[in-house]
Amino acid sequence: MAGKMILIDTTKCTGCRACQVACKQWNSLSAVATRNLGTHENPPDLAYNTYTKIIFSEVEKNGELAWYFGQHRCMHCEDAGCMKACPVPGAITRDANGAVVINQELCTGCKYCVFGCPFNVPRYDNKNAEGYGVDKAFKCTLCFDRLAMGEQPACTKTCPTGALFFTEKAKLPEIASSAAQRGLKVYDGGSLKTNVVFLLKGEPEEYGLPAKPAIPTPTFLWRTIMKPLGIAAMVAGIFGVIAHYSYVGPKDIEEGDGKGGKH
Amino acid sequence: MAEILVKRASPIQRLSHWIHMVSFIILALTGLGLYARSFFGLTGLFGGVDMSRTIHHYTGIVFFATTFIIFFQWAQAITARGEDSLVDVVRSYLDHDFHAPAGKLNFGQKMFAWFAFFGGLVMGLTGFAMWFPFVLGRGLQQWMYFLHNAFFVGLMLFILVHLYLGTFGNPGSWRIMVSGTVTKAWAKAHHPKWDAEEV
Ligand code: HEM
Repeated sequence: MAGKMILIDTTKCTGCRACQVACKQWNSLSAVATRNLGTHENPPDLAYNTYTKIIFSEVEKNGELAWYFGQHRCMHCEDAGCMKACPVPGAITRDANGAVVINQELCTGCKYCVFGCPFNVPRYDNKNAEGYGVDKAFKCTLCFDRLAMGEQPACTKTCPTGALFFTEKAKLPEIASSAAQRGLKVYDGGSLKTNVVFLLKGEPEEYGLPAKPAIPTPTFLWRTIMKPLGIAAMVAGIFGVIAHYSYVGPKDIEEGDGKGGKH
Repeated sequence: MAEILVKRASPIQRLSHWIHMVSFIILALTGLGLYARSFFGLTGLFGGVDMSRTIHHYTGIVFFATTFIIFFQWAQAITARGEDSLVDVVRSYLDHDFHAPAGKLNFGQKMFAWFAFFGGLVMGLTGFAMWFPFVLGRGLQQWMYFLHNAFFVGLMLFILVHLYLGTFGNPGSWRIMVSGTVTKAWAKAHHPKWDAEEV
């Protein structure tokens, strides 16, 4: 796929959160009233009006303190759990750039995507405080609207240190080998093949990322296994009943005889 | 020859079953609209996906309640020990000359009744969890979708057989839903023990 990707070099991030602000600005997302949570992290969580959030993570390594910066945001998976779960045709789509986008006009607010996401990203809102739509799910769009105009996403455009970098997905092998030389791990969602790729110094969990990202097992069993199996079983059942009616026939009780029927 | 009729279901039992059946059909159709994107067109029958889902939710309450009502109405017959077995029942479906020595309910009907009760319970509990998905926590909630789906398929298969056996498969059965009665011959053939002991 001639897709694009956002490369996040966590070693270059200074936690300035300009990306959060740029994201809100481009997408016209309101600010969140918050309070001191004992950390620089702010706002407290992703929300219908917060598509991305910098994670501040303090880890002790061999008696020394490491301060890691991660980012919680939509990873734009090529094998996307939200898309698997979504029941409405066209409500979640992937464009040629690899952006996975929820169309709020079609979204019915069932929240399947919220629970199908391996990264716990889509957020459901019912308050419609700023007229974004009642009873819908929201998440990062990879600024697909900017990409369509040949622009890069607001977050990568604004990042002052180059920690967020927008590039061709095809460059990944090249980037991976130079990252390896710097002793960094590439985090690309494994089999999910995310279009947001991290370069990590520590373990994924230390950046708020799942170590083994995968479609949640129940979601996989539901959408990938049970759904087609169920359709097959129901169709087979209908044929089974028709076959019984045709070959064995109804069990007709003739009045008075009380015994057999059609022979 | 005048038919001898035997009473099998009271008006309340029939009304409960009608409500159960109609609510099941509505739930199945509104549910199927979300089951697969290729079935999405079914939501159009109910005025779009939003309305279809709302109807599903409130019909769910009716279905859940009647699941209990019907089970308790029939509890005695469902729990009664019979002399017939699963083998008898399968054989009686395949061989028209064979009749299982069934009581008020045969072995297959009892199995169906238990599954309908347990399945209705699971559909209701998982359904309410899906209606209010931020209660259970993420890990548990993800299983609710799978269970609602798996039990939906299970119920559909059982209901298909139930529907067939209650209509085309066994002429003379459908009248229980209409008038609550069966012919003496029907009772004697299909439920000989019941016919001998209780009728
Ligand atoms: C008994 C109470 C029930 C409740 C409260 C309930 C509730 C729900 C809810 C909340 C959903 C999620 C979609 C949405 O938010 O609109 C759903 C989906 C669904 N329901 Fe139910 N439901 C019930 C019973 C049933 C029954 C009896 C059937 C089958 C006849 C059924 C079949 C389905 C199906 C097929 C889906 C689509 C989910 C999938 O893709 O697997 N439901 N239900």
